[in-house]
Amino acid sequence: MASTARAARLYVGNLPWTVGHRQLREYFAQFGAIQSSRVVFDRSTGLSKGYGFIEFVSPSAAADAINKQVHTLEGLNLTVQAQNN
Amino acid sequence: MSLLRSTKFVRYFTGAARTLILNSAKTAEANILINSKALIGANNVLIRDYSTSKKTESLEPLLQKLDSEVRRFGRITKKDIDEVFDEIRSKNDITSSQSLLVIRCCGELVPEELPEQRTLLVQKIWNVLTERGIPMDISHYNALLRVYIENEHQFSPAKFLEELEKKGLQPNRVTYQRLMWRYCQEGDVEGATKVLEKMRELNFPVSEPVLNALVMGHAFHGDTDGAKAVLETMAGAGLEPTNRTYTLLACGYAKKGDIEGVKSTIEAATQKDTLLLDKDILDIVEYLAIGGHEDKVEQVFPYLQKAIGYNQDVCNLILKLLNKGHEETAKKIMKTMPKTANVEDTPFKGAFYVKQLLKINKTADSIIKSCRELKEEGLVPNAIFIATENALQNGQIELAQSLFKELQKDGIELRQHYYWPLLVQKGKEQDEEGLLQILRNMSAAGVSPVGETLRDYVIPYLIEKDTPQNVILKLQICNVPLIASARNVMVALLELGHTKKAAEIALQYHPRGQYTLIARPLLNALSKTKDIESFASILHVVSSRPQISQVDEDTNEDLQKDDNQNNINVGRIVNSAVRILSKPDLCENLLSNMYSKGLGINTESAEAIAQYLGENMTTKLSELLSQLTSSDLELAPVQSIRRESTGPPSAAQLEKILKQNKNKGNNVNRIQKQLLTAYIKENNTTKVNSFLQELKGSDFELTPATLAQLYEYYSQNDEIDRANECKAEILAKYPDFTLNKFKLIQMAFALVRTNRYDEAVQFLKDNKQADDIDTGFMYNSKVWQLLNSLAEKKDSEKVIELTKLLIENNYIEPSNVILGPLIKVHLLKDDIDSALKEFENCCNQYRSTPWKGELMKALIMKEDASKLQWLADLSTQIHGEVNILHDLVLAFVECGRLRQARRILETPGMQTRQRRLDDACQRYVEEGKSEYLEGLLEATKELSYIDRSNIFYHLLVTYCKANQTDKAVGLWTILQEEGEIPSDQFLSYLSKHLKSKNREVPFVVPNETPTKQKTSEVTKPKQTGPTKNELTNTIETLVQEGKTDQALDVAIKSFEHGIIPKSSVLKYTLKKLAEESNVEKIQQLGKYVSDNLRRRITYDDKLTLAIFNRGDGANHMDSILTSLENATTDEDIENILTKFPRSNALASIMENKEVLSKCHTVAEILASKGHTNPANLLWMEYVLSDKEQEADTLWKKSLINANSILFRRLLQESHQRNEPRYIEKLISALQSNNQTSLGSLGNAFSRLINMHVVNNNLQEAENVLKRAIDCGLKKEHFNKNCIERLQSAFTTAGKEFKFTL
Repeated sequence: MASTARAARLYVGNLPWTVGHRQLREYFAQFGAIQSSRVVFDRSTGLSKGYGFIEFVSPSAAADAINKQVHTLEGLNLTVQAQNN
Repeated sequence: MSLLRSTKFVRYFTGAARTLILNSAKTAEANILINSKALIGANNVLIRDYSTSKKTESLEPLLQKLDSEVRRFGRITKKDIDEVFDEIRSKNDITSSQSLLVIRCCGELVPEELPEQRTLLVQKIWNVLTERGIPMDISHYNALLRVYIENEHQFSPAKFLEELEKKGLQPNRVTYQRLMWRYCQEGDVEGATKVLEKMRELNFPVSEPVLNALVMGHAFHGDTDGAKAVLETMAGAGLEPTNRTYTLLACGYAKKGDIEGVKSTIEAATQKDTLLLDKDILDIVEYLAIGGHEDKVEQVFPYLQKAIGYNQDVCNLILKLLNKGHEETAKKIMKTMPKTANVEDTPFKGAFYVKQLLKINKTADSIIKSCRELKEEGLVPNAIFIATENALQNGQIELAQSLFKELQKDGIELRQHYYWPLLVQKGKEQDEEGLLQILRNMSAAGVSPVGETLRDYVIPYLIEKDTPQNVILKLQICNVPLIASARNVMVALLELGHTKKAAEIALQYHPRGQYTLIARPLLNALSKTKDIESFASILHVVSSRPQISQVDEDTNEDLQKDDNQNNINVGRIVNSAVRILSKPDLCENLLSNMYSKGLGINTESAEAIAQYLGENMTTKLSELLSQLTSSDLELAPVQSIRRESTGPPSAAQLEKILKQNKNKGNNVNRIQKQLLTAYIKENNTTKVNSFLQELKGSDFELTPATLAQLYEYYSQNDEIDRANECKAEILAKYPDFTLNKFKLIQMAFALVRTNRYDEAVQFLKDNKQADDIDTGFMYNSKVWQLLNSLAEKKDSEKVIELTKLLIENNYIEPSNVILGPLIKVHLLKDDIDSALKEFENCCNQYRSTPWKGELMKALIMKEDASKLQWLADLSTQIHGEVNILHDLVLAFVECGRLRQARRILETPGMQTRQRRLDDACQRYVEEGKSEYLEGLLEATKELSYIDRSNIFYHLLVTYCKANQTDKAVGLWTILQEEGEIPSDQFLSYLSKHLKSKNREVPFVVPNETPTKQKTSEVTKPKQTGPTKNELTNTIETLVQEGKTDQALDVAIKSFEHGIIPKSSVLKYTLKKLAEESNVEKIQQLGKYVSDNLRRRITYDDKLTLAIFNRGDGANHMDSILTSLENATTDEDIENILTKFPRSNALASIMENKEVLSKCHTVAEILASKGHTNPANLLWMEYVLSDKEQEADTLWKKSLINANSILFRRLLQESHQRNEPRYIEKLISALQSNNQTSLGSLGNAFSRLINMHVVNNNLQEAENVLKRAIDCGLKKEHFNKNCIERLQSAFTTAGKEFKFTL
């Protein structure tokens, strides 16, 4: 219901199939408190779609995450983008 | 057996050398047979071929992808071909050359597939191509032959030749070369000889491919000496062996395990400067493995050069080796792959190897063994992970679970979501036991299923087949905690809209908390079912406290906090619920349900609700809201299905307790206080009074707080004197004590109620407040109740005075709610002018717009445009233009003034707030106002930027609810008429309704289950790009600005992103393009539109029109004529029909004799095949351009017996041109056709009569009517109104209407 500022929400792509909500949260927790963490799964197959969303409590944590050049999680380089729109 | 011993061959070779010089250029085709990589070159030619011939077909991108795959990897995947195949199957338009390419791709280029599978694939494709009647020439058959050979498919060359003959195709050189190869593959001397003889007979050169076939034939059947001899003989005859020739020989040695032979052959080749390529050496490796000499493969590795493309060649070989079970060799050759420098290994290293292991269906154990080896040898470090991922993707459940165990052995954590694909798979297989077993396995592996697992992947499947209680039981057996099962089952039930069942589960199992999880499903379910009772029960359970029998004093504070949090959560949910219910009486039902359960809400939510209800606020609602925000409200214990309900102690109970304690001599102070409060709560004035007397007699001391409570109580009950006594008593003891605002208002209200208004005013003035600190919702609503009571007495002066007083004396802040009664009082008296004056006052003084919607409607009904404008201007200053325009639209719609509503919607730059319209729709549905919805639909017609699907849906719902089935079905027809696409939701709802009425469902019902619907909702990624509406708007704007080219580019881009712009705008764009004769652009769009869309946007018509406008009509008609001559199937004819020009195109060539006569011919031929529409269209144009003679000829030849005649255009045109003679012409034509229905004739006559009436030519109209009646027409055959209109025209003219119908 109450939605946090968009500025704190990131799109995370190129996730390995092994990463679930929790692993995504654990990785990004290094940048600040996490509001929500979600990997998108295809409910008709049960498989990860390879991308997800992370929402920080504060926009500054999100900015920190974006500013890091390379994110590597379980062997893959992630795509991290601010969630606009 | 020895081919060479048949000396005949040598004769051919001598001749061959000669011819070869003349044909020294090797044909591309011949090369392909030997080296599949050469296909790359061939492909280029192919693609260039059809791209230059301007056939931009939808296949092209896919084929180009195939080409690039071959270029990069030397292989393509089965998936790529499947895609192409699907494309071919769904479309008619594959060209001959494209089909050639597709056939060629079914051989060695797909190393991952077993040869048998590839043969099946090519045959499947071949069959489709044949069915489609794609023209196939010898090159196609040669390509097929090549694929057969590559796949070592057993086929009979003789039969193959027979088939060619049947098709009238002449085998060429390549055909014979390949058949020769086939015989050699089989070791069939006789066959090979025959082919050679035939080739000689035909004077075909015996070139390298024939030589290679012979070498292969010998070598692969064990006769390496013979093969070597062929090679030498031919070299002597001047025919140089190539690297392939040497390779084939070496492969022969390899197959035998003769490694020396292999080496010497390679060296011999090197000496002749014929270097063997990596691929050649890899072939030798393959044959060593095939021959069972895997131990010797290393010996040829030194000959590898590892040139560019080596790794891909190795991949191809490994896939083949794995298919044939030569895993050792596969690993050996894999080790030769050079490490890429500077790049770290990706987690996917060697994935192709593991994937192939899974593909060939090896047992789980052997796959695991292979993976372990690959990992240990460092070849595929992530082998087990890769295998697991692919097992999950392929739905290989057993394998996946075995791999999970391996992962655990390696100390790797298993994660919740690893199990989801397995659960999905079991669900799809309808294997409930298997599903539950996986749940048990999860617990056993230490991965207890979480809520998401249960909700998304387990319960939706179980709940379909069993009662919720049993589902919970089953889950419990699988070690899922009871409360978790219950909670998630409840959510699942809510998502399915089974609110009542969900409430039963809630009451039975008491799942508490987790608002975030429950809120959305609970609200969705409420909106679906409107089951307020169940909604409140669930909310009650969710917010209930754990059932601890005695609450300790010191935890009380926590509980308090808990309650606050609960109130915020509940408040938010209730606020949304009110919006969903929207109807005041339903809201009241909800709120009183909440109240009866003691479910409190926070002040912010209550205010938001009041704001939302606005004009619909009633006294009852206001009271309920204040009760819900009161801190006195206590949560009732959840009534349990199992337990009896225990309410808070009643006064009677307290009396008993008091008595008992008194008897025991205990201190009863606290109980006495409780009892007094209980009496107050029970509103028992007698008891309050008598008990007070009793207390005063004892040593009980009334605290100021209690006295204040009594003051309020008496005020509420209009006992002003007693209240004042209490006040006096307080002040006597505590002179500084001040009563709070709430109590003051209660008193003022009591004074008003007892008709002591002036005293009330004075009282309020005397107690002027220092500040206007907000005192919460309860207070505000009390003030509103006070003002509203005056408004309802229509006492406008008092309302005004008191409102002003309350605001000025800091009792209240002005708001729409508080100011509402000011307007209401005037409207109740029908005094709009005063209401408006008051409104203006509110706007200016308080920046508030109370009752604006009602005022607008009142003005609209009075048709007072200037006042309305004035009102809108005033409101705009406060709410902004867009909001007010929406208010106006809705007000107009509600007053039935659709044209005005529409005019606002059409305002340039008006950004429609879809949300506002949706909210309104929802409200209309609740109120059953189908007329408002109809109005809204009408007002938004063809306004492409408004998404009307919701309006349609809501209107459908209202119709169905009112059992207006015919209207509901009619809505579906309107959708088609207006070119809108009914949503799945619409179709599902309508079909359900129709079925319930035992009516036929005239459309395909979308296959949609509630769970599936949710899936798409949940997993749909947030759209980051522009939406359909935005794109559509962009396109439309571009077209309007004359930038049609750009508009189409945007359209194509959006198709590429999977967004289909609105068809109305596409159609519009096409129309403009057609006017500009922009054939190319229209064709570009062609490959993106589905057949369905194609029809909707009349794509073919527009294309033809563009062609005609460009002046290419003649060519177009020629090509139609050609295809008409070749047409064999109905499909062919259908195709031609779509290409035949329509009215606009025909009209443009009426003066072009050449094209016209071609059209005429085609139309006649089609009519002779039973398709009269083209002739019909042409006939109309003849009539309209006064080509009487042509029209008559065509009519008599093609249309006089037609089953149906189209003539709408004729009618329209004659009306527009005001030319009755076209209709006359039509009528006489129709009369000559004995299939014409009286209805059609009646229609034509009616239009003619109308035209005469419009022209005020009554005499003529009368004559026509007479003629019509003479033709046997009855009243029902005429158009509605036609006769009426004629009759009234007669009356107006003072003439007598003497017809009786």
